[in-house]
Amino acid sequence: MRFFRRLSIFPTTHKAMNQEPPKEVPVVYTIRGCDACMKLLQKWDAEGVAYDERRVELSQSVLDEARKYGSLVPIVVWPDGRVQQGFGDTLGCFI
Amino acid sequence: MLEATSVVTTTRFEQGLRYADFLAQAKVNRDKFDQFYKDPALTEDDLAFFKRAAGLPNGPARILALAEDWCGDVYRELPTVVRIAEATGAELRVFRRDENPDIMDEYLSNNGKSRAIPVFVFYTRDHRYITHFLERSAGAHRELAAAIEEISTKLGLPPGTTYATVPDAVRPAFVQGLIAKITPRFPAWRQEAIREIRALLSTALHIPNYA
Repeated sequence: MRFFRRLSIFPTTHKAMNQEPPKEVPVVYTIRGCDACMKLLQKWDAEGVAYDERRVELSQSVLDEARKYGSLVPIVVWPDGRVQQGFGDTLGCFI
Repeated sequence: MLEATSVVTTTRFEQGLRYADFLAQAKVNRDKFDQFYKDPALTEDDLAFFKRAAGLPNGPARILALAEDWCGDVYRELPTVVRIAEATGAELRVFRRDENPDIMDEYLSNNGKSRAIPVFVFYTRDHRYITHFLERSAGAHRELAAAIEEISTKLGLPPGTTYATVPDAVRPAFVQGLIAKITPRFPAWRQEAIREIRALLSTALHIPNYA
């Protein structure tokens, strides 16, 4: 299951929410029960960063997809291919 | 966490999920739970100890597990406790952490800041609290701290660097190094967890830590 958020100072329409995410936004694999994941999303939301959120706890196929990039969520795959794991002052969650 | 002060009354305990139901509801990692159930890391000596402890009048007869199916520490540790419950006849009930925040609040770690799982709570047959295990063994935490120190040194970071103080510029390399260092230790950490649970029960029940 994929959740795309385009967050900015401008209101987001439902049409925009239903669009396929543009390729220039980072993909972030998250677990909503993971404190480090939530801190990252809160930071990005506050900064108006657009991102494509993929929740690994909801689907084995998304979890398997995330594991191709790492083992510690949040996992961020940037448009240029860089991968980052974990966020903030806690380690994150092993998947 | 005595019955009188805990939200986990005997009635609440009985509302927890049986392991089979927890597994049936799991959205992810069923293969991992099955894998670790088939390889529970328990020795004959471990099983003999747990059976002896369970045979005491005040021994563990009920085990509460706080868990989520997406958590790596949970799918590595919970199947072992399932095996312990099966071997000793203890009643195991699983509570999903995010649906039971009041129970989780009784077992916070990291000075009350972390909701780390798994948590295993052991009770007597008449639901008196015995002891509990949180997330990982003390040995695993020590290894994690040592790994952080070692990687910090390799990256030229100052002594005493913690995960929280790693500069952003080197954080990706730091995390990669940390994962590479600790992942091979997970099998040993499972055994450490069993040793720690044995030690906790041995202390709480005032019995020797051998079978």
